[in-house]
Amino acid sequence: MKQQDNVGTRLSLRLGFFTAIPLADGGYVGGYLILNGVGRPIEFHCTTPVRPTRAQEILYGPTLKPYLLGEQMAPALIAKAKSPAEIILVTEWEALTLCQVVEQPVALVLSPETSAAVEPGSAQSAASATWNHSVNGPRSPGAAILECGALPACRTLQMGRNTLLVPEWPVERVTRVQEYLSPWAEAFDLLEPFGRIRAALEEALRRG
Amino acid sequence: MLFRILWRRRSNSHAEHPPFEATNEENSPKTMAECELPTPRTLTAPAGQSAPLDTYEPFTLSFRIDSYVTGWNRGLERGLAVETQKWELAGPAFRVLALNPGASKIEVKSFFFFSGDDVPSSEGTPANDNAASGPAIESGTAGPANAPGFATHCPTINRPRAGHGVRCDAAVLLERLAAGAGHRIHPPEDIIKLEDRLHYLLQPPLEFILAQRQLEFPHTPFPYQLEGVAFLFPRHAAILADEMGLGKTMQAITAIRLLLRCGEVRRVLLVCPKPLVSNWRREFELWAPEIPVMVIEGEPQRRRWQWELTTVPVKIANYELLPRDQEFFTAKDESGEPKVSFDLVVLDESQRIKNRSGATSQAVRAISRKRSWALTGTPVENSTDDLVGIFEFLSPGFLTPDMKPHRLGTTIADFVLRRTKDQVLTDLPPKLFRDAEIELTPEQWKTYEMAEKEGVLRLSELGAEITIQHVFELVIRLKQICNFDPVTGASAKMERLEADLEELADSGRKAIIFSQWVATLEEIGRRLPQYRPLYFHGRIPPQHREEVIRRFREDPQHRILLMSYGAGSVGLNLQFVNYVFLFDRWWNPAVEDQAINRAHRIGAAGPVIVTRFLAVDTIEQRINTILEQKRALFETIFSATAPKRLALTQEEIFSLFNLQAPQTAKAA
Repeated sequence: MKQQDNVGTRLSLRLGFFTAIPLADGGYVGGYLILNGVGRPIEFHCTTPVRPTRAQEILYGPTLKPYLLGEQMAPALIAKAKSPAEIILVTEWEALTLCQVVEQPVALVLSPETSAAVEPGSAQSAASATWNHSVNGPRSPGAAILECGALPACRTLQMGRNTLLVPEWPVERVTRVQEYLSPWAEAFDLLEPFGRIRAALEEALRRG
Repeated sequence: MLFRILWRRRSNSHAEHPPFEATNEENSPKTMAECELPTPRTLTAPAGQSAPLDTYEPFTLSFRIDSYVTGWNRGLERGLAVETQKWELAGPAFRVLALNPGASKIEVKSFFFFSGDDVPSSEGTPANDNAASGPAIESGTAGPANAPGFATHCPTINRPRAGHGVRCDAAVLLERLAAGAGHRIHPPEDIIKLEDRLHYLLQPPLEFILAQRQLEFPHTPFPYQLEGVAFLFPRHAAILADEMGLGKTMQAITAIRLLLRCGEVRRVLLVCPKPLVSNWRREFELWAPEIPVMVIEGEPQRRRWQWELTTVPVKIANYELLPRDQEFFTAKDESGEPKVSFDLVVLDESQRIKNRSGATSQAVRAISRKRSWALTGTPVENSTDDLVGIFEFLSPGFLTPDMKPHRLGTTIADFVLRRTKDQVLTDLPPKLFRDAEIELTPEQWKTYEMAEKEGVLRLSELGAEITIQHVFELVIRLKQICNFDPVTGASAKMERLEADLEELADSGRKAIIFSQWVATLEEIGRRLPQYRPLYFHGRIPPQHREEVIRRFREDPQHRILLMSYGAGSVGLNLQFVNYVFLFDRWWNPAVEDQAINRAHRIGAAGPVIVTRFLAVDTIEQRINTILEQKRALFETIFSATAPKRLALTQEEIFSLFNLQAPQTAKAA
């Protein structure tokens, strides 16, 4: 009976995963996948290719990608969802700006390489390690963003084999997120669903 | 004279860089000593700012200036010439550019799937009437097995049993996932709709599903087996053509199990040769203990009822039954819809339907179904026509008999999955082949040549009356002479076998010797009493066979097992044997493979050495040549290692003696 309850709880859980893949011409396509607690897809939303204008490139400078991913694409995708996710996970640090736009908790799932470089509980270390492992390399725009305060102060959260980078939330929110994620994160790789999104986006691009 | 007064800041921050200098306006020739230094000055701030910017003071230049009577002194009395230059400070009017970054226009495409374990069918509607009970199916407490009266009315159904296996080792599966070795379900090329393709792409890896559900398995599936399951799962038409021994049965059952449990199918029919029915039932018990299975058998009325029963998820029927029961499963209801239909029909040993005009093939194709899978290790036995025949069931018209092998290979690539042991069982000890080319003894040659000459002459005399049976008789006679000379008992193969056995007797190893004739086996046994031979062939009663195997395995005195090809059936595991001798060759190398794989399979203790006896310049060599050509054809189509599974056709048997097959010749 208890097992059934657990299954029922997991089936009703909704987790959101957002990521974007870059295009050769400088644009992006983004995908938002909602899974239930046993990893089955519930909804999938994807953008058509989004290309920044020249004005956006000039004015946003190093903050362009956070703007596009976190403030434009992700909110547009999340707005289409019929099943609101209890928590939204992202895998690009630039998408963390989403936490300033949506009400749900947003957390960055760190790659194992980045996780290894992070000192547990150290916000500064987590941030630095994340920037340094970002796709643009060390002292890339990420550092500038950090310095100019475009991203919130963050801290790490260890969930099983997964390391999350989360904004400095109140304790209650951290507890809630841990409760939501524990059925998954204790045993499974939270980076895995992002692979599905990327495969789906590539398929969508291939099929036009 | 002209000289300068230098000013310096009172604060010393910029003392080394005088901020400005001023020219003395005195126009009389005075020495520096005579000049009065001006009072300190304060630079005033621009209008609107109250605080002074800085204060400067003059300082003395301490050097002397002498005047000489040169006539120039008068010139010093003249006033200084002052030139002015006008500077235009105001520039052109500024232009203001407005840059509006604006919000990017973002179009979103949305796809919605059924939730939970009630995974949607690719058509977007659940195939399972019980789809709403997805979580209940997950726990194994609902579904067709619990339908009212289900078990009580179906005595031939395997009852769902409490788990007897071990839970799938979730840790092993998750480690595979973490290592990036997960198996995803990729949509086949014939799925066109993007929504359907994404449906499969967005499913979790199989390892994830299995670990989540904690399914019971006898053992954790091998990665290549999960690859096979991931291949079958999304396909509406598929051939799993793995080499024998890799677990096609397990892969098919697991794929069926997952499809049933997630509601994509609810009625499955499995068709297999009659002798394999009980094996399939046993395998379902092993690999999917919670799935009820019914075997269609018994009197016609009973079978009709079994065909029409809709509450059983898996039914098993044998090929021989299908032509007889065709009227049962093709019957229509009042609305013209078939009374019997299946979501999935699986054909085991699907080469049985290679003959498109055969009654079995036609009966199979008449079954109403949504998905069609074929399991076979020999998708091509004789020619490309075999494959065309199988595809008539899978996807009618997809292949045509006139397609060239290479084009055939590329066309079917997405529908066929074939792996060999060499490719996937890297831990399996090697299988080493030794082709022992034997020259017949002079006595054997004499008998052989005479028999062949007489036999061919007799066949020629038959003219139009000749049948394949006549040719077969001659082939068999010649092959038997290659084993033992019926006149003198001479046998070159026996001499070689005795020499080989002496060698391996020293090592304490055991051997299996295969022949297609019981008489040959008995003759070998008579000549090798020192090895305490045991027999395993068609004349050994089934109830004694298990005891034979037990004695051979456990009693070190029994060193050899004499076995017929036909008796080496499924489920016979002899992994403790390291040597296999093929005393004579079977028509179809698939049967030889089956024999060899009794010893060479998962769990084998060491390398298996297979010695194939071949009498040179005889019928055996001619048969072998034809089979080699067929292996090459198979390679062209499947681009894999030679499967050695290509039987002789009627025409080829005639060609062994340079005879032409008559149109009326009966099939072998």
